[in-house]
Amino acid sequence: MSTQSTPSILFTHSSAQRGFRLLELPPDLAELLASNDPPTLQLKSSTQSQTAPSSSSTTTPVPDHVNLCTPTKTYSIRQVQSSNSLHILTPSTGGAVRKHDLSIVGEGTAEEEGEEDVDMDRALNVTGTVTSIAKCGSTLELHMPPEGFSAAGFLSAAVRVFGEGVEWDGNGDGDADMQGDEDGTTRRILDELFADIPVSQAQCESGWAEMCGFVIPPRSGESLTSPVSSHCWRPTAGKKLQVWKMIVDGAVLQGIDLGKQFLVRDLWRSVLDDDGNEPFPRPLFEAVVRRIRESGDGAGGDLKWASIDKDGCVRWVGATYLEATAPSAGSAISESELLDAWRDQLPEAWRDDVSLSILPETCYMRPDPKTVCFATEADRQKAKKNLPTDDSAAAKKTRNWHELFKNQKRQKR
Amino acid sequence: MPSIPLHPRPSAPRDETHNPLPDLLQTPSGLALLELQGTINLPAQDASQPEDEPTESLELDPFSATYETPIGKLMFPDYSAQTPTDDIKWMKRAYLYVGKYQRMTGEVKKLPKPLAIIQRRQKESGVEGTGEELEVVEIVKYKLIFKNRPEPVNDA
Repeated sequence: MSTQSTPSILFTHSSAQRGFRLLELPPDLAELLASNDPPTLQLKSSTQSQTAPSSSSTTTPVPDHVNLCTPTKTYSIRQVQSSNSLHILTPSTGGAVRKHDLSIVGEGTAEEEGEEDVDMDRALNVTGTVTSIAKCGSTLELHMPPEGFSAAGFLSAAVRVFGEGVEWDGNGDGDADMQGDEDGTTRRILDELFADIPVSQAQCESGWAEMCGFVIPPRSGESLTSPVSSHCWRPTAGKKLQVWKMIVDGAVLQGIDLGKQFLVRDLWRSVLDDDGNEPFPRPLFEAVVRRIRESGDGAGGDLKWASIDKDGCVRWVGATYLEATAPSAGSAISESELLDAWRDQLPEAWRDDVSLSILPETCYMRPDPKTVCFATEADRQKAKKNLPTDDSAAAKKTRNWHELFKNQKRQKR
Repeated sequence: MPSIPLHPRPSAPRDETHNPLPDLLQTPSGLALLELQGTINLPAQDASQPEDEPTESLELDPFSATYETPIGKLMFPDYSAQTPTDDIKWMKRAYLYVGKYQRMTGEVKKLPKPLAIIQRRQKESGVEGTGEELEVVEIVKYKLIFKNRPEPVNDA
């Protein structure tokens, strides 16, 4: 046969099989990995104990799933079985092949078996050897749900809630002096906290900032308690509103124009009472200021100067007010009541900006045409899931057979 | 649960073994993908050590514990090293001879999405590892695929 004269490559199977996994790369991730200085990725999984009881368990399909995180993006990993076997080949010297075995593949060797020194490559007309060092029956596929991943659910479940009834001893001892040291500790605590949140670092950071999460580092001399999440807090909506109210009142008293640049330290002093006592922890104050300040100031960085992003702030106050007063359909309030109360929360000059249309649509629901209430994360997910009503249509697009037939099975029963 | 780092580059040095595959299938690490319908049945590993050859295999291979079982031969009938890289007609045909009398016809295909080959990162000896670490050994963009049944060939 003519092809027998074309040089061929000996194909062998190595006894030293190695463990590999195959991961399918979406274009953006492939590009990231091919770049000159690719970042280290993280495989993150949530601890079951944290997600199971939280509201976020409704948003995540499996509690013990693993997500692949780049610094800014999160993908869920799904293992896809293949009926074909994928072998991973590597070039080999052919040195580990027993000549005795070669008669399986080649003519020629049988007769030349006596001559041990005959060049194997020439005898078989091969140009080299490749050997299979691994067999993979499945590949890992990456998926990014269209609505993306949110750290909020995981973070809320992981940290302590700062609301009414939380003891806070604000004896006014910490004024900016040991700030540098505390910032380092805070950073360390946050890094450790985010390591357990199965979404990317950037998404953790933005989720944390979004919920005005804050860290109360241990006092100097005290060591970190474990887990670090016991140092991490998120304020309730009511608490956030209270902080905001005090900021507004303090700014009026001290003549600080929130729309222009001001020294954050001055604003902090304005909320302290006459004896310098702190009404709430300073980290909470800073978290709120970060949340509503002009993002051009470089979020996350130094918080010496700030100015408030008026539009964003008005929106935030509205949403926070709604969350605090009408957290569910049962406690929905009328639209005019919301608008009035909302205006009252704002500095005089901003009152005219209030309108229901500036609230993001995902943030409120209308149980009936006249009233509004806050839409929780779970409500939002429900609303999203209702959009594609035909489940089987969505399933048909996937290559996963379990999902494809899951619905049919359910219907039959 | 702590997060597991996935390093974007392998820590181990490149394998310098001569790579006989067409350039298109060659990767920096030397790894390539071959997809096969069905499985390769191998003799039981411990039973295949013939009595009369132990010393020889020891000489041939420093890692005497590993050996390779020949399966067949790969052939790219339309490929030659002189083919210009933009000429990809040769990809349409590849043969895998299994044993002497069977041949599978396949082709070289570009993967719809590149595949990262991932392995557990080898711990440096002496350093007590704090946890598991993974690394991307290679990103492959092409695969050899043999999806048809073997056909008999007359070898003579």
